Amino acid sequence: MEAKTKDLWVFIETNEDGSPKKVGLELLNPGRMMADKQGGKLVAVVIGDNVAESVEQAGIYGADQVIVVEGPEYKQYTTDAYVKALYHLTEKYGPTTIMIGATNNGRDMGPRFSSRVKTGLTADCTSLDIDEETGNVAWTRPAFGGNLMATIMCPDHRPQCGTVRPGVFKKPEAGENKAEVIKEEFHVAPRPSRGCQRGSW
Amino acid sequence: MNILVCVKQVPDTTQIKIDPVKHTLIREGVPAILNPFDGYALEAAARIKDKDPGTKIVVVTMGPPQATAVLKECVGIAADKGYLVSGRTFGGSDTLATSYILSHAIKKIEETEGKFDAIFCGKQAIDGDTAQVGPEIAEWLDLPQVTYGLEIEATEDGFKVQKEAEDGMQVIGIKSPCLITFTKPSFDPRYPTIKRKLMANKAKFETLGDDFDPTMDAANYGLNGSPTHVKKSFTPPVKSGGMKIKEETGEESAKKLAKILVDNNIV
Repeated sequence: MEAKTKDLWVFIETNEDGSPKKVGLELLNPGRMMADKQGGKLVAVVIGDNVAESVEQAGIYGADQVIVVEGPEYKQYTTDAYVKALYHLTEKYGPTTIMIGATNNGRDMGPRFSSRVKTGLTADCTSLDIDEETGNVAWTRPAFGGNLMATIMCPDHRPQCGTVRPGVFKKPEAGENKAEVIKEEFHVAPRPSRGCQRGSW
Repeated sequence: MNILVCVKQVPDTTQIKIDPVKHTLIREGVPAILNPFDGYALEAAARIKDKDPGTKIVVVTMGPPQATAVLKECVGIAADKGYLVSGRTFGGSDTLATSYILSHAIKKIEETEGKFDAIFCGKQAIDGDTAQVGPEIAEWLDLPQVTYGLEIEATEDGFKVQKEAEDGMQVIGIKSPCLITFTKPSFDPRYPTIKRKLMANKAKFETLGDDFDPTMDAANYGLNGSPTHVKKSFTPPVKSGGMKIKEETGEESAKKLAKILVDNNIV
């Protein structure tokens, strides 16, 4: 996919009550530094149900823009609905970078999304920077059970994507909320016909 | 029931040592093993077969020719058949490229073995630790997925999967065909039996080589077909010992800890 902007997106995963998971807010910290180096906006992408609190927090913690997809079908995470929504937004806005918290859901959604876009994804990063020479994101992550660190780049495909381990970065300082909020109406069938419904054991 | 289990031969990362001078991994003498998470996926398939003995379990691995060792091990444990995907042009593939090759291999294997009701994978391999290839195969094949599976039961039209979530356990119903990745369950996978080991020693495995599917686009695999590239690798710095808080009284220690947590935006 072509990048239409130099914007960096941080996916804000939400809880069932619509509040943000901490890792999304944490990522706004390195996100700010990288968005500035990339010369684009820092955008928070919030998907969930009743997400007013998440939208507000994303603004307080430094997002320039918040893109919101809201609906009861997003209350609980499902691979199908979330990947469809994120794909739709990516196609429409064309960010250059997407960061996703490496929670269980983030690591379920990330590879499904990146392979739909046919772009690169670096898993479970613990350190982030912009490569000075090329301007690409330099994603650093442990491998071999933590015995080795590798720095990975995705030079020719956009958006360049990574999942980032929770707890590695601190939340940025809270500030004045100046974020522009964009509400996207995008809805999917609440119960995908092919399953993935909650049940009991 | 027809189940495919994707497995990988990996170095036993618990036995890897770092060269103290060159700061590189010492790979010599490190045993190659079946990726433990793939072992859990195989165990899940074996448990379905325990209840439904008509179940066929096929395993597939991608790697160099010596990776047939893990196919043999899987037959020793529970698998009925195994396939090796191995080609020089496949080398250097990242997760997206690997999943592209494997998704084509799976379609090829289905020509012989029939459609699979489910594809099981380990959550991740212990060398790459990405947890990406499973969901990526599911995307190429347009299958629904469940990740972090612990236990599984067959239902009328699919499966009921108990999966690990951050805040506990979830039970997900999923229709067949589908792809499920497995993490470490609360039980140990079974060991091979002598009888099955003898059988495994005689087993022959078909290889899908470079040209197994002429419709594959070479721009999608190998080093040049991979969107991600390793720029550098290095050994991590030794972790420092943490921080000790020991004030006069417990209350003072707690206050100091709370202040540090607040000052650092941790709580």
